[in-house]
Amino acid sequence: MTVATAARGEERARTGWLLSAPLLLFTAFMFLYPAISVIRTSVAGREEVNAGGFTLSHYTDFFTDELYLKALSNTLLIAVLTVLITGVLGLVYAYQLTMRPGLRQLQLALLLTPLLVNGVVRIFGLQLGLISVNDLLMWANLVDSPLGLNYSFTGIVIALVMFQFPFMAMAVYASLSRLDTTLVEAAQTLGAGRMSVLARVVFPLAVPGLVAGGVLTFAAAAGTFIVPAMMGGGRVNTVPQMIYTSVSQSQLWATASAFAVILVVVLVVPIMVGTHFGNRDTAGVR
Amino acid sequence: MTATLDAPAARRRPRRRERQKISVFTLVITVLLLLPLVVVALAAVNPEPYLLFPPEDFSLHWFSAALDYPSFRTSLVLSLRIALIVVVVGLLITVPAAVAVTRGTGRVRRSVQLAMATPLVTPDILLALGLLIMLTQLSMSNSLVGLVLGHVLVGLPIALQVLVAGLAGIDPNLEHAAATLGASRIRAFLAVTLPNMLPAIGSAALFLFIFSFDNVSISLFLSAPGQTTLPITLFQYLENNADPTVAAMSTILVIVGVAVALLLGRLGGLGQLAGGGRRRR
Repeated sequence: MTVATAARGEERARTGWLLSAPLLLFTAFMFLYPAISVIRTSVAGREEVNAGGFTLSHYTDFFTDELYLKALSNTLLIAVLTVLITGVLGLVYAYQLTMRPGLRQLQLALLLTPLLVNGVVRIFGLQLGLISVNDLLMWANLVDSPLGLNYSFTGIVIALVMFQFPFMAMAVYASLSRLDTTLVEAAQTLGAGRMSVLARVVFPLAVPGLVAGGVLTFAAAAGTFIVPAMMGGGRVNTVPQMIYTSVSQSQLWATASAFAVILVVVLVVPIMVGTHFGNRDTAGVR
Repeated sequence: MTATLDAPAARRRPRRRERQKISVFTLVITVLLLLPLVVVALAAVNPEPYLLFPPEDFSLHWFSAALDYPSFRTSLVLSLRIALIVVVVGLLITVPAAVAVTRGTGRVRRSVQLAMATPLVTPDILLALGLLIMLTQLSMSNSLVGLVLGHVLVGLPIALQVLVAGLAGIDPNLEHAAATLGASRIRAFLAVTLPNMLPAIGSAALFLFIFSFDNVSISLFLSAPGQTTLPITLFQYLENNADPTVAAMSTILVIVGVAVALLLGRLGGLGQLAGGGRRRR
């Protein structure tokens, strides 16, 4: 390497750092400052923004209060159910679209379009739609009383599945792009049943997508405020709702911060496990 | 690797020419996902002063009622203002960074990737609470700064991803050629690369706009009396009553979302949504 090319390489590196500096500084500041603020406030002696002192009582309070623990178990149950349902639906969707790719471009575009519409609006539309479903079922004499799809635990899961399905479907679909459709046809010609083809040929290929989509869905489902707030009708308490009400209604800054830290820790463990196994699975294929 | 991949693809190609089958399952799912948007629009065109689905008549007067409703109008203007500032600030940060990622050294690229991973894995609620504490500590909780900063952070990963994908498709040799012919590096970039980047910049701007305009999680914490963005105003309105006025305002938001989707489809950015842009609601 000549002196000139070395100097050019150094200049290239310097320009690179210079150009990326605004982004790096912005994200570092915007991530570190709020994170440190929340952690500091969560162990503050008093329920104020700039309170000094140190106590772990906001954490111990959480784990000794039945109401809080119930909210935590609600949050986790909602997240797990959402992951399972979107996983199954996403797998079938991606498999069907791979095997029958008619109108593929249009369907993918329509799948992504709702993601660009406001979440509050989509939940409002879902509420109106579920009311109509109830009316229809009662009119057809299929049920005697309203199903309780709105303003319930079920409603929260339905809304979250609606929100997260496109991400899961796209993640699994990307994984299945490596699927050779002739392989499936060959297996079927040789007498393999539908389920056995799914289990032995399709599912193993879909695992990386399912894991990636699952991690995304789990975090989103456990961290959402707006979905339980609108679909739960005040009946189902979750951790994000407690964080919001602690701050907005009671100014309990330390309590809210401790809840936020607990939520993140509870979320990070499954996400790290998922990403770890997801990476291991994809590593073999690549 | 490519050789083994090509073989089955070549064998399959003749079959592709046949009319492709359409899956009923995927069609049903697509319709179900779009249905809530259609229901909102249908509820808004019913002339009666209560929500009725399906509508029995057609009228657009709830749309003018929605735009005349003071709190809807002020928060719509506020949301648009914030979104436009977010687009400008976001592009100023991401365009140079995208150039650094595609043209810079590996170390720069890895640093930027790491920086982009952090907002993606941090739950919005932690971010929002942290921002609120930060702004309160700095006595700025009643300014729009927090909303702008939070929305920029939320839109950065997808904007950068779109720009990097766009830049990767541009041959750096074109710029080198211009430089060899005597143009300065900045002039070569502005005259050769930047014009080719415009579709990607357009997509990035649209994503920054819509992620800010639609944002609920950050805005919820940072909205104060007098600075409530439109999604939060709708949420608060819906807590008390659901009527055709709010359905009409919601329909306007559906139209905005669909318009952005169509524009992104034209610019080729829509597919990026699935790649890494996280659900931000």
